[in-house]
Amino acid sequence: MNALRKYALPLLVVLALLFPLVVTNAYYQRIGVMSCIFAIVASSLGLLVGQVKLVSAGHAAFFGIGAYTSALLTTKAGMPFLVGFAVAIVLSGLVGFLFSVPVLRLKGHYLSMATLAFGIVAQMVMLNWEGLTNGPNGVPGIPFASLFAFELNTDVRMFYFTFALLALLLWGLSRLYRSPVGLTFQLIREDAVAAATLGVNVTRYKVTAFTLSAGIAGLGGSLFAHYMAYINYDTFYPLESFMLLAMVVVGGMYSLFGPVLGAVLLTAVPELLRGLADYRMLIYGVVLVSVLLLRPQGILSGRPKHLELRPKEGAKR
Amino acid sequence: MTKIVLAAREVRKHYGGVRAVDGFSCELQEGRLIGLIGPNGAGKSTLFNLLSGAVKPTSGSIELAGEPVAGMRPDQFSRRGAARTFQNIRLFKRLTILENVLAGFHQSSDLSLLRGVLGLSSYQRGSADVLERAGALLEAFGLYAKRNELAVHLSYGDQRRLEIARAMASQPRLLFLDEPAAGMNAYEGQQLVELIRRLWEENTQLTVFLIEHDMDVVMKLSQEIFVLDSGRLIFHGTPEEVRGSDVVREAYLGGDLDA
Repeated sequence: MNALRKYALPLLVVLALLFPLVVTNAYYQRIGVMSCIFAIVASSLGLLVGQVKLVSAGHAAFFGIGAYTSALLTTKAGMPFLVGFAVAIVLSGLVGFLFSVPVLRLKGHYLSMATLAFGIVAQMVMLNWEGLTNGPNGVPGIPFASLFAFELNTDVRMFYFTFALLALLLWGLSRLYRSPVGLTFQLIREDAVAAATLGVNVTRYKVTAFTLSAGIAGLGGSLFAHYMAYINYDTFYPLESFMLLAMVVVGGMYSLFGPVLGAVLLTAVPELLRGLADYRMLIYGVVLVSVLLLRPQGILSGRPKHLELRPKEGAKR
Repeated sequence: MTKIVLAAREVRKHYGGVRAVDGFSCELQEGRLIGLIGPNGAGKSTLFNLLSGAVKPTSGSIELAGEPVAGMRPDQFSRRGAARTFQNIRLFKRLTILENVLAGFHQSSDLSLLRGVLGLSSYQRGSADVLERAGALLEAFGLYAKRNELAVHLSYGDQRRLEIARAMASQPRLLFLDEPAAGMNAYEGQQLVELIRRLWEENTQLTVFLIEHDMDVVMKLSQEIFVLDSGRLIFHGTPEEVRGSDVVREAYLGGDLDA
């Protein structure tokens, strides 16, 4: 078991790096890229739901804000991708911040209701602010992502780019979860009242987590827009928020890799079942319900490693 | 002239028509061990919630070290030196014992988000002053050996002790203990009394304010005792004075029984 744990991660990384080289079918490569993008967005939600216990039922809104920001800046304003990408992160984070300051006074189900409402309103804005978003026509002709002169114009390049960003994100999150700030998030999750009596400014940390999470979701949105080349309001419908929640819960919300696994499963499985035509969604639903019944804690039930204190060499305890 | 750690004036908490605390005033001096007693429903826990910042008063003023704090958030009370335990233990159950104590060190921890993400925070570098202090505190409370176990797996008595250790980690000037010996047998209770006394003796400036039903515990520990009934202060004095007071006896036994 320990050996498995030790080698599982490097093995997975190697497999992922080989994936677009071995699997040359463009359709499967596309599933690979989409899995990476949704893994990023699901991880952002995992931070909120699994670490702080803030259940956002409107996370597709931030995904959408990032996508639209990046798409509009590059198509209408002619900005390079990297500018659109950076502004997408900052702007969705900012919207997350402005939204969370008043709304995080709500708790539990009420908070979820508010985020759900926010998701619906955000989609209505995308649909009806025609002057900015082209309304129902969406934004066509979004340029490829590019790193300065290097265009990410193939599925393989985009796969490596999104995978690198996912890896970077997980690296950062794994550190965050073991830092004092991460511990503070977990204190709020476990018992916000007790945390407050120890000096934790609960609202401030919730806002921090929400802002961070919204920014990361916006990052995913930007990648999505430049990969699809076309977006419209329809992608960011409220049900998408629940898909994201399903990824987090099915994969395992406390675990760092849970949302990633959930995202890959829920992106890939419906595609792999495509041959079954009408039965596809039925089987998909059955799989989803079975997982929740058999493993309510999610497939990956572990949580990030606990902090440990090892006695120093020679110290007597 | 000794310093006043906490001063409350005419503090009230009304829930609709219920006057849980109805005009309580006190001055707690630095370095004292003080008891709070009263019959069930007298408003002791509500008073604790008010004085520790968990609940905002309907009216009245509270000062911590001379600074008005009524209406502030609990974390602001904590930052000004108040810490507490709960009648129904509130540990972070799915975190380890070490992490529970580290929670108490929140205010002395490295709370930079950036350093945390980059893996440069104090915990992660291992250099960690905070980690060492947490270790020392766990040793003092006899919990060091179990530091990496989940709090939920501790025995009841250990959970009580961990909660006190966690509160002490925030380096309070004023420690509220809400029925620390509740649910313990005589032996455990005795050990707890010794622990509290030792804590108080080792931290000369620490003021301990405790609610306790077990009269033995209160009488043994307290230098002075506040007696609460129906949300009002009915008596304040030394344990001997409380023992001899007719008002107190009446409140506990009922006036007519006493005749």
